[in-house]
Amino acid sequence: MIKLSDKTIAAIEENATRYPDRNSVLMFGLWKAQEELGHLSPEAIEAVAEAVRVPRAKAQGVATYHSLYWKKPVGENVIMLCTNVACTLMGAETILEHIENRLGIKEGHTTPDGKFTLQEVECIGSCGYGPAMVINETFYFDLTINKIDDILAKL
Amino acid sequence: MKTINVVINGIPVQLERPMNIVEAAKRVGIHVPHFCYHKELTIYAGCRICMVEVKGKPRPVAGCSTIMSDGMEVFTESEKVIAARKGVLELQLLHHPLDCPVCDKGGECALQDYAFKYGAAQTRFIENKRLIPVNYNNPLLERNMERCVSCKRCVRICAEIQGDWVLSDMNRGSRVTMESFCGDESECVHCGHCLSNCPVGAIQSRLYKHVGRPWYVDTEAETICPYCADGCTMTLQTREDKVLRVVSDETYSKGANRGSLCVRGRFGYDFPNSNERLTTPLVKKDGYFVESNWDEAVAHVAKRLSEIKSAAGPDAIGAVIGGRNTNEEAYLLQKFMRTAVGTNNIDNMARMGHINALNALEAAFGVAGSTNQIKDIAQAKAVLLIGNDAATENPITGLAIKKAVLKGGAKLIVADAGRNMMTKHSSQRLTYRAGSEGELVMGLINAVFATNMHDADLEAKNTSVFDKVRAKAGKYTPAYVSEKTGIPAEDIKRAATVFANAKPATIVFGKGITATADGFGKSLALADLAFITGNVGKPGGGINPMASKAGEQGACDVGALPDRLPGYRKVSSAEDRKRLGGLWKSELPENPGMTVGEMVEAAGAGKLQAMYVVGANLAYELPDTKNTVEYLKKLKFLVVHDIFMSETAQLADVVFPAATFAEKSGTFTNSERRVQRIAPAMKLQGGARPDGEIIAAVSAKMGRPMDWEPAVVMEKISVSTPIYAGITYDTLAGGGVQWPYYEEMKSGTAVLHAEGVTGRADNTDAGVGEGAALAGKVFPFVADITVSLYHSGTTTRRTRGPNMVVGKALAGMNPSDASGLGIADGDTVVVRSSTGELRLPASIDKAVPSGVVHIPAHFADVCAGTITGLVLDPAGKTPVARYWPVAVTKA
Ligand code: SF4
Ligand code: SF4
Ligand code: SF4
Ligand code: FES
Ligand code: FES
Repeated sequence: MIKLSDKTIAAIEENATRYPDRNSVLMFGLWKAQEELGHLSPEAIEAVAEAVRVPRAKAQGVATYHSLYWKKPVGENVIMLCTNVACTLMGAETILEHIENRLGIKEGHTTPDGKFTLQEVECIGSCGYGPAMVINETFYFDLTINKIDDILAKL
Repeated sequence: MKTINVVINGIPVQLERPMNIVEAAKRVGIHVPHFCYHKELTIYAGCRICMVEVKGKPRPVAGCSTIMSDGMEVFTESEKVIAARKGVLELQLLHHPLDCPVCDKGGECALQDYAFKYGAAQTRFIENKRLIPVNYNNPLLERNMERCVSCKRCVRICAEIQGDWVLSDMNRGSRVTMESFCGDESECVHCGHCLSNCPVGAIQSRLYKHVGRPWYVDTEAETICPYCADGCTMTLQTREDKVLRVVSDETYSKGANRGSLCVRGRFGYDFPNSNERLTTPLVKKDGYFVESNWDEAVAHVAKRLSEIKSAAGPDAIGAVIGGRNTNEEAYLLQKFMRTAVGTNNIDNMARMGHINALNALEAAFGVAGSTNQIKDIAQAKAVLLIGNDAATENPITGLAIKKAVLKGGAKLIVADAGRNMMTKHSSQRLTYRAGSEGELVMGLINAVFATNMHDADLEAKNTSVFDKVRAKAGKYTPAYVSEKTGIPAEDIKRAATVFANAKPATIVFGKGITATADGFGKSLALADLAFITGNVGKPGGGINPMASKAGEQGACDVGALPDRLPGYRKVSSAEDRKRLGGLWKSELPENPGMTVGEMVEAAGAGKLQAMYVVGANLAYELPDTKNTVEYLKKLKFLVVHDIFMSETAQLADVVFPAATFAEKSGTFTNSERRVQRIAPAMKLQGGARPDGEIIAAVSAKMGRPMDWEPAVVMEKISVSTPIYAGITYDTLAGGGVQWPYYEEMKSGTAVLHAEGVTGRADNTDAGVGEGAALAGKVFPFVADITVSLYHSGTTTRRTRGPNMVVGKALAGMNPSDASGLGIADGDTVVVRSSTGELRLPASIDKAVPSGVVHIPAHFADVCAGTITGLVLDPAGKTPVARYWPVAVTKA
């Protein structure tokens, strides 16, 4: 069983004061635990559930719902490429293929050097500027193959 | 509220309150298809199959989440609606495996029905089917997520009604599956709510796998669960006189349980099919049972009883009836004893505890029954649950408590000496030293008075009672009680404050109170607490004693008691004896008889020579197994009725094969005074006969013929038992009746004393005793002997379902106690007391308080009675056997 750091627990408790219902803290707690631990293993999810005081199945349901929560260890840079309808119409699939070839990994995997993780995600709210992606906390849009090469080269 | 006028498919409908379109349509017999909607659950509106057209709205709306407003006009089967519905089905069928031929849901599956109705068999999409292995993590359920329509009803019912939240929707979109945390189903209590609530075949019973189809059922009967005293309504389905399965009420409206069941009721159904059933009367000759026939066996019993009666007098014979028997059977047995035999030596197994609660409530308020009803508890703002693990012992009452907490925001105070599975829902847990429960209750009363939180208006009308209670509680200051119970004084005050300030607040209690020393006085103290806080007579308030078995309350009601005639009339009252004697055309014996514990002792002393035991497994259920068996062996003549060759039947001279609940009619009265009918779903098995018929046959042979047909017996009960006046099989149709029944209003009584209650000061003298610490130097632990959720005795031992989950007894121990003794999970331990020892594997469980070993009763190989002694409490003559001092060592 993982123990969350005092800092994470304190952050969860502080956050809990902002809502009438502790359930509201769950997403924040998962996020903080991910920050601390790198990814959300089942043990980490269980620790968050205990700290927030929600059933562990509920915490796992929320953690597995959102693609921003990483259930497996990830690389230094996480590429989250939207392959939802609008982006796909704008060529997201070609982009995906290109990244896969460039990095030599399939979607959902991490490069052996631990530098990149590639992940398909659902709509990231930028349908007008597709194809779009998020790497770490930076947002990229109007993607083309050249643009991708530039971006990845700089990381 | 103003009525709402709406039109559904051209039919005008008047609604007296706002409701959604699905429910409104139901009023006029229109079914709006739905998967995710369920009337007892929060609205999810995720499946979209319930789309309907509302006049004036451009797009179809969801019928489950749209509340009807005045003037609304709805079309549930218009062209537009059908097109939308087909679209939804098309998407569902995209992934659905269409394996109906091998799916047990076939014939009662919503997806199958809708696909059939709307003919949406083709899809325009090309997509792979989902390939998800069937999940067998649960011993009783299989989860087949390929068939799931993502309605989340399983998730919601487990969280919202069962209150356990075992399942969640994991992942999302087309990958979503309904699963437990990492597939670990250890938190599941196997209630089967998810199973019964899944609209498709995604959750299935492993017990019912390929057993039958809905059209394969040839008989079904709405009946009452034979296990605990919650008395759940359920439907038993059979084919060719074999039980196929139990289904729960789909309308979620009937009886005390309103659609819910626990694992025992839902999965403990197959004991009537057991090939271990007794099939023919057996008579012991030279130490061996010989098969006999009914005439011979009945004649033999009548002859032997008559002989003993004339040689040693009627008081040399005693009878006991068990908790599985119906009211009618208990009535017949006590009448048989009082007339044909001529003794008051008749008792029932409520003597193991519940009788103390009844006597106390009668002393306090004049009626020997729960003051309220189970579903009422959900309205309470605070619940004091003491000496009862409602989640395990009476799970439906547990659900009502959970509802109060989860829906009503009630505060739950769980007070117990041992493990209590309701703790996770509590706002406060009080763990007292076993034996000091009375002091705790007195401490609460003291604290209520000390801070003037009692009901002052009520006090003005009942000054003398209040004075008396106040005086009695005087010495139980928080400091004193803290020392006795081991609970910090602050916690006692806090609990008293929470309880007294919540309106209404209710009390639920059970054997942790009633089966301990001074169980009567302790029950009385709880009644006082309910009274002084002004909770008696209020919906959501009152005090609810939990009987253990289905037949206990009723057996007491109809007079299977040594000091009481039917309806709790006193044997000592010449007037009552005369009235009843007149009805029965018999002069009734006037000496109060012996209780079951006294009978066994008297058997040991040679004073009791014969016993007639119906459905009670004395050699197993009573404490001090070794002596009990020895004493029973001393009887000159022992007659036993049972379904199986129980430990007691083995000792008998004559054994009669009894019918199970599945084969007979009758009534049970549950913990909330609800008299409910059971109905046969199959023919009598083998040579078994209903207990009532057997009793009547013996009685006739002894010169006192009696009618035994249950409906006729109930008519007699309603005449001879004042509290059952007006109750007949007709009045009981449709959900039963909580006695007393009022003909004028055609209804029973949900809340007693609603017209106001006056305490009866003259009766409230009993104290709670001195809860001396049970554990000492030689025996440093206290064994907490309780029922298991999965077992309740002779019958559950012969059912597959519960045994698939919990097949053996485990000694629950706190991790720190265990590690102190070098005991690891699964190690065999020896639990030793002054009377004997048990060997069983340890289960390390942090829910068990330190100093306590949790011992489940009701396992064949581990008989808890081995480590207890027969000590009868002076007031109720109840065996004091809930807690017993023991030593624990690693084997
Ligand atoms: S059986 Fe009951 S406790 Fe278990 S998952 Fe289903 S609803 Fe939840
Ligand atoms: S398993 Fe059944 S109840 Fe649960 S979401 Fe799937 S279809 Fe609905
Ligand atoms: S054992 Fe009790 S709670 Fe469970 S189904 Fe039967 S009556 Fe209901
Ligand atoms: S579809 Fe890609 S951002 Fe919306
Ligand atoms: S039943 Fe209305 S959306 Fe599911």
